[in-house]
Amino acid sequence: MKYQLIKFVFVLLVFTNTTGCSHVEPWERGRLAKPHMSLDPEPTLTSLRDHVQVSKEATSGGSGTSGGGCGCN
Amino acid sequence: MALSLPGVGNSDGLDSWFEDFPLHSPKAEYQYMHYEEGGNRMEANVHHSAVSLGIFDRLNASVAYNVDIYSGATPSYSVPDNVADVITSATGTAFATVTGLISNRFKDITNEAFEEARNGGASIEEAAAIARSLAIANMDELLNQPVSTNFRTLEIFAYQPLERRRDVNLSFEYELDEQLTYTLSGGHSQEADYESTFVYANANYEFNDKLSTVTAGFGYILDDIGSVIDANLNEKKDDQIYRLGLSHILNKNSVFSLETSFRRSSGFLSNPYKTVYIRGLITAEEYFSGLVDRGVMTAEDALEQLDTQGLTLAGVDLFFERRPKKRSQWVFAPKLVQYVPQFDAALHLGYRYYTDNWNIDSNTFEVKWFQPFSGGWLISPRFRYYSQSKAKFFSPFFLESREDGNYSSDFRLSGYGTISTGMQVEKSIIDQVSINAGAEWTTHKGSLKLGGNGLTNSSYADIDYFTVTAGINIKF
Repeated sequence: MKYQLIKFVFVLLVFTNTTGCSHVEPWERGRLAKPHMSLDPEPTLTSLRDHVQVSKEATSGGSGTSGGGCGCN
Repeated sequence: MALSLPGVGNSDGLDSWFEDFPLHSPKAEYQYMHYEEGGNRMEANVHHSAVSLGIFDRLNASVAYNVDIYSGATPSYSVPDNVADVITSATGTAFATVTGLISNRFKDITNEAFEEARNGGASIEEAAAIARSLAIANMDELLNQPVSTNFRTLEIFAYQPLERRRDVNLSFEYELDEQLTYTLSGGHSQEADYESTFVYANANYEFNDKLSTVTAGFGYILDDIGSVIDANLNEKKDDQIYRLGLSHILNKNSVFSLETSFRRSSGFLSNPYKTVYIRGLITAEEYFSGLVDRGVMTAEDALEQLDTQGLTLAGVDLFFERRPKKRSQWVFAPKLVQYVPQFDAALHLGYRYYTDNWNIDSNTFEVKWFQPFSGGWLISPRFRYYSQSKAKFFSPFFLESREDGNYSSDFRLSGYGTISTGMQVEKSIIDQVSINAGAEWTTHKGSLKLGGNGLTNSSYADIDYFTVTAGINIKF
């Protein structure tokens, strides 16, 4: 499991390095400002999917949403 | 001096109120989700509605109201198929009912043995002792039937009648300056057997010429837990959640984020509706004595005299599950959002690693593609793979007791994997209004666990489920 995690982080780092890390001026951020480029373009749907996953899976977290409820079934 | 309430009495008051508290960017949304499991199991309908409003330039308030309506069959416990008959024959909590059902099976045998011993010249006491030993031996044989190597595990279902869950969330976002934003939210949810209250505080700090953002948050959830099958159950649990996140603009086409969180849960973490089959916690002799030697007694009285590790009896060798009272959960979730200029599309790649002190690890990989089309269309297919290892106290059934006294057969604590594929379509009707619809299918299998063989035996807990969604967003 740990090897898979290390492999994933490695691939991610290689990918991000090849895409480059540079200073982006405010006037160069037009593409980043597009709605579908936000970190979560559909927060309501994310929250509803989380609701299902919390009820069906033993693990949760990482999506930034929080709340309460049973999800017993 | 007469007091005038803003917005009441005359239009001057209303205008003055809006001058003092200028409102802007009001938004409203409604989202519906239908959830359905294959095999006529659980079904749920979720209704989400929310409005948000800017007050002054820097404060945004929103309120959301959610209603879940659900019902259907849900697994209660599981047993090897060759012992299912005796276990499922009694599910009452009355000890006399449980032992009586077992004892009745041997009534004829014990009566016959008693008569035979008496005819052979035994005294009443001697004949009773012979009959008792025979009954206990037969009961022992029935309760402890060998489980064959090629047995099947049977899931036994309970029916969840129609129930509603309602929750209200209130959230305020305050932009202190160009760099710092605070969010404070809270909410309450209510079901017939469950109440939950949560608060969450978050700070967002942008720095490095707004190329980087760091987020820190703290949440607290307090739950009151009851049970519709046990009016005396009144338990509590609480959760403390600590979050730390970082996002960074890598270049003009990509953003990277990393979210970490720690969650500490304390209190009643069991599911009051799940039971477990545990062999040998009550012996055949104890079952027999419970009925014959002590006479009819309540479950509480009988259990006081038996060592069941504090577990509550729910049937023959069947007990309400118990999980540890503490749980520490860690999450590490990197994400990359990459713009693809050739298609004006966005690729979202996410991963989540989760680990906790119940020995559950999970890995989640998610890929989404957001593809805009002319005419205000946005189509987003997605794929998600999830895999978890089993909790240290999970087993489909227990053929011997555990030292720590924790047991669960809830299939959600088993080792398994899921694959979800879905598609979402959004259409802007006019600038202010958009509608959306989508569907997602999920396959849940023990064999889909990373490395395979998630469940110790067969595919008894495999299920499929799907969701369909539809919604509308309005900006005023």
